[in-house]
Amino acid sequence: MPLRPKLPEKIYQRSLFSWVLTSNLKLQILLMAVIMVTVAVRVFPLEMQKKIINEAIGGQRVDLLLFYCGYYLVAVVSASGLKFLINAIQTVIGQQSLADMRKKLYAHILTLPISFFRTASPGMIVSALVTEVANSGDFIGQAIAVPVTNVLTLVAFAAYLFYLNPLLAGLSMILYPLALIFVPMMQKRSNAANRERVDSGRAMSTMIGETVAGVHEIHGNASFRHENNRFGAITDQQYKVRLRWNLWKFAIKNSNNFFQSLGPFVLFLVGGWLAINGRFDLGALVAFLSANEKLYDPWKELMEFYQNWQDSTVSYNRVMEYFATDCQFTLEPATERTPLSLPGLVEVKDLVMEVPGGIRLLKGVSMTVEPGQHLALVGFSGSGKSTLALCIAQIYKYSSGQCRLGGQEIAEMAKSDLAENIGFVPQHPFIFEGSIKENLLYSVHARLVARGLDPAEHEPSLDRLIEVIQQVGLFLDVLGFGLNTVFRKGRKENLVHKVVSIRAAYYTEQGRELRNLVEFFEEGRYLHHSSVAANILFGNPNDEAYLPENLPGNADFREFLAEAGLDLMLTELGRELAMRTVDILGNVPEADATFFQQTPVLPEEFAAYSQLAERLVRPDLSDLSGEERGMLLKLALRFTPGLHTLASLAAASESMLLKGRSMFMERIAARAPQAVTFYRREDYIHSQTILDNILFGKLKTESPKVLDTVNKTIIRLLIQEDMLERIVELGLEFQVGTHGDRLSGGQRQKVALARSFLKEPPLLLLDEATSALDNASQARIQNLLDTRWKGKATVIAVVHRLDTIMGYDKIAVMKAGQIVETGSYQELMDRKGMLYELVHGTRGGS
Amino acid sequence: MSSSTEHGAAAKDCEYSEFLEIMRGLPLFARVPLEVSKVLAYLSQAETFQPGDFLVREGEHAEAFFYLTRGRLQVTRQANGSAVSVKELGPGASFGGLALILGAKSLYSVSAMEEAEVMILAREKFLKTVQRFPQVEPALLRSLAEHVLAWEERFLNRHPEEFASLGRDFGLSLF
Repeated sequence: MPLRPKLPEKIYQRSLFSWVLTSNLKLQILLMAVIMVTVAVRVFPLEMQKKIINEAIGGQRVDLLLFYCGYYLVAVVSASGLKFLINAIQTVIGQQSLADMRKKLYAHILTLPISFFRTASPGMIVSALVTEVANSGDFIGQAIAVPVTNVLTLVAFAAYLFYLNPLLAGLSMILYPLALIFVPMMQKRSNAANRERVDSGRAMSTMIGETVAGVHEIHGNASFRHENNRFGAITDQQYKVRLRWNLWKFAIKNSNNFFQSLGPFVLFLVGGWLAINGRFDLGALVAFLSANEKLYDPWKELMEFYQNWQDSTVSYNRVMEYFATDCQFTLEPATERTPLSLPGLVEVKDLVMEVPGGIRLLKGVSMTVEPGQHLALVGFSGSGKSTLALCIAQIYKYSSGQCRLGGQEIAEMAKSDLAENIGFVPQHPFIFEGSIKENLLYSVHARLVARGLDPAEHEPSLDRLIEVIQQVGLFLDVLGFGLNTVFRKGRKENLVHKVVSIRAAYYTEQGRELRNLVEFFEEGRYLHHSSVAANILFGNPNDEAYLPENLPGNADFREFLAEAGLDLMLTELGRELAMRTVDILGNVPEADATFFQQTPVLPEEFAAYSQLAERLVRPDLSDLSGEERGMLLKLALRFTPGLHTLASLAAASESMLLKGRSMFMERIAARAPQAVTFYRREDYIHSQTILDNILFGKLKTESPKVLDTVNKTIIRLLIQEDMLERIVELGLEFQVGTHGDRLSGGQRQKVALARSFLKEPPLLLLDEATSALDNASQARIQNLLDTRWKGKATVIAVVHRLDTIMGYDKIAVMKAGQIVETGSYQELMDRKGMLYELVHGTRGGS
Repeated sequence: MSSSTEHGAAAKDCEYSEFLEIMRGLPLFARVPLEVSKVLAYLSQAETFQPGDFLVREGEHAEAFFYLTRGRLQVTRQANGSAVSVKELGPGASFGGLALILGAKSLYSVSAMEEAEVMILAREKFLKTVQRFPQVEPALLRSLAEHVLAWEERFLNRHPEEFASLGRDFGLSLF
């Protein structure tokens, strides 16, 4: 390819214009060609104009008139067709370059050191990638087409004018150089005023922010006048700057127009005089005037392009400056090869890690961990144990000394090589949106891609996944998720029958114990752990329209509510729920799924209910629209007193709803007996979860301990029916929510551990990886490490809780960035040094 | 707060209002702004414990704050292989403030002596809330420091003799 420029290696050093050169060159060449044709086509009508007037009209020849007009038409039609073509090509180029720029910038951002993200705000990164680069994309599309088209058009028209009459042409163009001098000068002033405007705008928002934060002080001192004066001063300054800025902008526009309109003045004067004297024919004068007028558009477009260029350069540079940090490590080896496979030997020698400000977090640490050996790093917070782990994980870059894995210096290793050989579980593992399974496979997938394999084909088997979730103690949780699945009617019918048979067996076995824990579906009682909808329906909807979520929109059901006298009560209940929820959660910034577990409002509906709540303050609900009443009814029907503690049902309301239940039964029996089958012990209930189906009721508590006990007692029956794997498989599909916020802290850590275990790396780095787990789970993980991993894989674990370190081969105690003692647990305890002090909780001295 | 009580839909005082009331009265949350107390009360849950059930076990990580609304609880600690009863707690008692902030292992076991009704605020929910309201942590820290100081002062005043003999172990408020 010609014209392939030498680009700077770093994306942030590239100029905006370099993206033009790397854009689709074939398209750019095509674009130039189209532009050439367009320009020629644009001049053509002018010549036709002249001929129509002089030869056709002047010579009174109709045939020539038609002939030239035909040419004129063709030229005009093709000019607009070509203009569209130019725009289209331009857009394709611009959007391609924008996509290219976004991808490269994103790839660059991913590689930036962790310290960058400590200070960068996610909002800034989002707006840089999403909005700010978009301007640059538009610009790249225009960068060649606009100036070239317009300059060429200008030149072409100018040449045509000279061809018509050099004297007039020269006169009419004498003014353009003046514009070229004055406009940029004024633009400079305007830019300066613009920058000042931004600054004073910032001052103003700071001042307003202060007023809001300190309003009690203002009220206390009655300093209204003083504050008004301060604000007034800033506002006046802002006013002056804005005025200046706007005036400059108009000045630029107007002087442009002025230079433009002076053209015809000269033409009329001189051209008219020449025509009167017969030294210039009329057709030529008309053509001349048209051509001169046509100079205006390209000129204007050039000016706009100039403006646009300036703006996008400013914002492009701002974006690039923001990301002007280098990746501290190599991502991939220089020559393509499969990642290295290294033994789990870790050698650290005189390792120093210094952060800006001259603070040394590690002050010369040395240690060796043999392949298969397990080392625990202990010490007080801030002793450098996590820092050491993060240096080995290549997340921090150490300042001096050596740190080797399998003989390779970690700082020089490519990320892909290191990732192949270590499993790293950080203190606060990140769980991505998606299913549990996707999260479990995250590391394995990345590794398969690095090896050039298709992840879908080499995925670990279900058995292997189950083995790992059992090892980390996640099995019961996943089973629980699986048991929480709701089957729609017509799906998995074979499973459904098995569930019903488990129900009977389970009740005979556990019935007595369950009585305290479960609220059974009993006809004569109000169910506090079921929704209002389920309490009224009390059955399995066979007709889509009677699914709980469809009830608020079901006209027949609405009619029933009105007849049963329930609608007013439910609207009131809905209002209470909406108002309470908005009152409580309205002030919570970025409320995630956790905050919506105890309200019938769903996170995605919150904004709508916030708006509605403003209108609910008035006690009179009669002026609510039908849609708004529907929203309130929706909440009321979801309301489950046992779960949604922010409101409660009065006894009278409960008996009304119970009465409603029997009325509804009668009504359905009379009108549409097929639509709902009422709860029967022999039937599967499609609107309820598998667990509720097995229990034939709802658990009264959310307590994880109770859930675990219940799940454990169900397992045997599931195995008997050969259903266990199926349910676990369903559980693996559980969607964890953004940031995994539908999982508990312990579950997140277990997922992160399982993720690394699945990978079976030669070195496992655990940075307080079990800190959120209860003692039993922690002991289980420790036991797993001791029995299955010892001798096979190296483990370096940063440990805060000391009750689990007995099983480690070696313990290194750190203090103030140094290892102060190393040895087996017994040796160190016998020595009665630092470890002894840590374990016995005496903090030397006091 | 709302006029709907007259209409009877949610006439009973709901758990949330009850918990909010409780929370406003607890020294630990005294300095927490109302908007945050509301969220914490909302995220709290009621649970019933049967006699013999453990709320917290010694040595395990305490992960919640408890407020006893009904029943009696027993606090014990293992000493020389047997559980020594430290004290009994009745309605209105609360514990677990340190657990919320630190989540460290518990030094005591707490179990139900009779059927007990407890308001529970889980640490995880507490932390999620606190992260969203940066002004809460200093408020809690202050309440906690005041509590420590008051405790030691009271202890020193009550046990002047022990202070002389066990002096080495005092001075918590010097931290």
